[in-house]
Amino acid sequence: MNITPLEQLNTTDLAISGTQGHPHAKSRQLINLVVTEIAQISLDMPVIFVKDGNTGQFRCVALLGLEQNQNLMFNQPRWHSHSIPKHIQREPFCIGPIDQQRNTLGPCIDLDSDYVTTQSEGTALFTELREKTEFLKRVEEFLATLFEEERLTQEFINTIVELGLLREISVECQPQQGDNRSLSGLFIIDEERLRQFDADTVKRLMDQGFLNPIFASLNSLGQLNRLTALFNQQSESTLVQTTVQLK
Amino acid sequence: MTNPVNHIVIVGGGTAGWLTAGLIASKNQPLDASDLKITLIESPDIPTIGVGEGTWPSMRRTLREIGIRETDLIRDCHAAFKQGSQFINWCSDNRQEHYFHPFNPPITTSDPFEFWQRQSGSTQSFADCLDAQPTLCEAGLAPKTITTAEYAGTLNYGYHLDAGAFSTLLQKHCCNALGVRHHLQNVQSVHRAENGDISHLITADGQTLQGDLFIDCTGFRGLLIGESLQVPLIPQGHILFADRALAGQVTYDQPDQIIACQTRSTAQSAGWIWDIGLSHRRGIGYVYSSNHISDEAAERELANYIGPGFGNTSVRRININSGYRKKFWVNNCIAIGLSAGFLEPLEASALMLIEQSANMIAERLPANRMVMDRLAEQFNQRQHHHWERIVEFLKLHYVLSNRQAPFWQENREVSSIPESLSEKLQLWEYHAPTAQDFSAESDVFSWISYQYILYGMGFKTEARPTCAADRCAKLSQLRDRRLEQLLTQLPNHRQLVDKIRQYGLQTV
Repeated sequence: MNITPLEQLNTTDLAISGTQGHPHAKSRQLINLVVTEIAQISLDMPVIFVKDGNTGQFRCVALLGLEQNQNLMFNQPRWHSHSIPKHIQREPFCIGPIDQQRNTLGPCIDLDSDYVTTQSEGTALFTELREKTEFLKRVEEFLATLFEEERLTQEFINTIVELGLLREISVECQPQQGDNRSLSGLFIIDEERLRQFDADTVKRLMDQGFLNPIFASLNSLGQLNRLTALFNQQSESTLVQTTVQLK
Repeated sequence: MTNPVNHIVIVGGGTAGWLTAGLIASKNQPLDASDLKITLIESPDIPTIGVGEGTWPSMRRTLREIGIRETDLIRDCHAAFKQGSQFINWCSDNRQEHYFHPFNPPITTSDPFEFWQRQSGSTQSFADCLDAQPTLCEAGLAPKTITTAEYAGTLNYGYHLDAGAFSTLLQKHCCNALGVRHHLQNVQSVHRAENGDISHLITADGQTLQGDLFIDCTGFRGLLIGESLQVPLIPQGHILFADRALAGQVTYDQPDQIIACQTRSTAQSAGWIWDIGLSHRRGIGYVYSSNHISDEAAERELANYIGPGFGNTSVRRININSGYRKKFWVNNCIAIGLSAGFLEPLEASALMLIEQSANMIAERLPANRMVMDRLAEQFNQRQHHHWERIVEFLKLHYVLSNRQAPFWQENREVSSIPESLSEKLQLWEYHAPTAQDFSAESDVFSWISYQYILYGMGFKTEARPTCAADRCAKLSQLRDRRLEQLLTQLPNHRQLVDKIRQYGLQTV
């Protein structure tokens, strides 16, 4: 990884190519989501919560595979989903630190990404007059929106954590032969706790735009069946069923 | 006589007072609904003693019940994790040795000695043979990860904490969240009714404070239980010789210096030195017998232990008076904390006893004055049993030593050893300790703890090997696999503490 602020690029002959289908995501089992896309993504895949291994803070993610490094949604060259999480779409661009103290965040590019090329075959970032291309302007807009959505997502996570809305589960995969395998460290919305909320709390969640994502993520657990079907299509072993176990 | 207990007055606001207030209040929430009033009155002038910086794993349950976040404990009290005790140079004069008494249960809780005995061909210590925790401690690893929920652990643990900051945290929570009333006022006089009960206190500003149940948390002074009710202390100095402590605080040389995840206790010529790692400093102190060493010589030994940093260390001398009250609950007054008694902190029993006592009261808060005498009888019986057993267990550490200085030799004189302990030691020459050796009452130290000390210190039990060889092999394999896993899975203790201070832990 070589995350460089777009403003500090000193070469202007950079181009982007090969992003079609986002092949970099082929072994991504979990993808961060922003709150604004939860409803859409939940139509395709399970939306759950996990703790960040480095900070212990909760993140909202899409579950794409039933084994480590497995992405069942992406079967080269195509995706089995209608929509693709923004954090996949953005590559090789990202939001990263743009000052020495690493306090300010802004649009960056990962110069080590396979998508970045100096050949002429890709989509250029700059014109021959060293001005931003329309493509780069669209990327910057996309990142600016994503930055705002990230902030809102943090607010969403803080809210549901404070309300005690998350509870731990494991996903039990039962193969035709052999022992059950279990995915642990996963969290979902606690439906019972949700039902105990008074009208004011529910109203507040609705006003914040959080009620829909909460229900969407709950309902998305049904997509585990879809993951299981995709697993059985793509893998040599067969799963009889996949169930959610409350902890 | 059936006067209901509606007002509990706790006198003294150290950890004893606030833990007691917190446990009683949290079990009776909301206080108004149960017509209960809890007042804690403390002197604005008396500083807290500030020893007792090590806790048992029981503190996790206690704090969760009171409703304090583990993240707040780590941040506000500079707390770090404790996975047990390490005893250094306790066995003999001539060699560098140490042994562990870890918190984690051993890999087999049915026959730990038999399992270890079967492996006698190996040079593995008792503690290492039974669990991975000692090795993980020495590797500087934490008992959990940043993604583990508050109060949950991969390995069993308690805390090392700053006792003063701990009182403040408890106080804030008790007053802000649990409805405990707080008076900062000196008690001028204690007044008693005809039946001997404490009826009220008069404070320095002339106010009268009436109560139905009084809890004495006034520390060594024992304002209610001792000065007013005249309940004597039963001294234990003839068994446990230490009567002084020199306590100091040492800062870390580097901000990323390792925080020991165990209490380190190192034997000296006339006692032992405790070494407790918090996130911002170490608490170090020498517990010694003034009959065996002068204060100056003791200070030199402490300086030796601390090294060059000693010059910057301010050292406080504390006189300690080993012993406990003849009764802890008399009439309508209960002593909790140092007012109940004090024993050297060799196994960090002080805070545990406070939790124990406060829980017993909170779980069965006397409904009225009539039932109090019966509850008091139960309470006294149980607490006496605890104190006796702690004295016996602490003495065990001294009895098994081969150190030659007069302090250590005298500790092995039969006249200083409780008979109950001598009898058990005779039995254990031929049979390893089991639950059968102890009364059915819930005991503070289990028979497994006894095994850790006995075999950690090289005690010999001539028992016939009974653990089947294939079971032994399986257990060893299980333990080794677990160790290997945890060595890669668990984070560095210092790094985890820093991370919790920065990000916090989740409650689920």
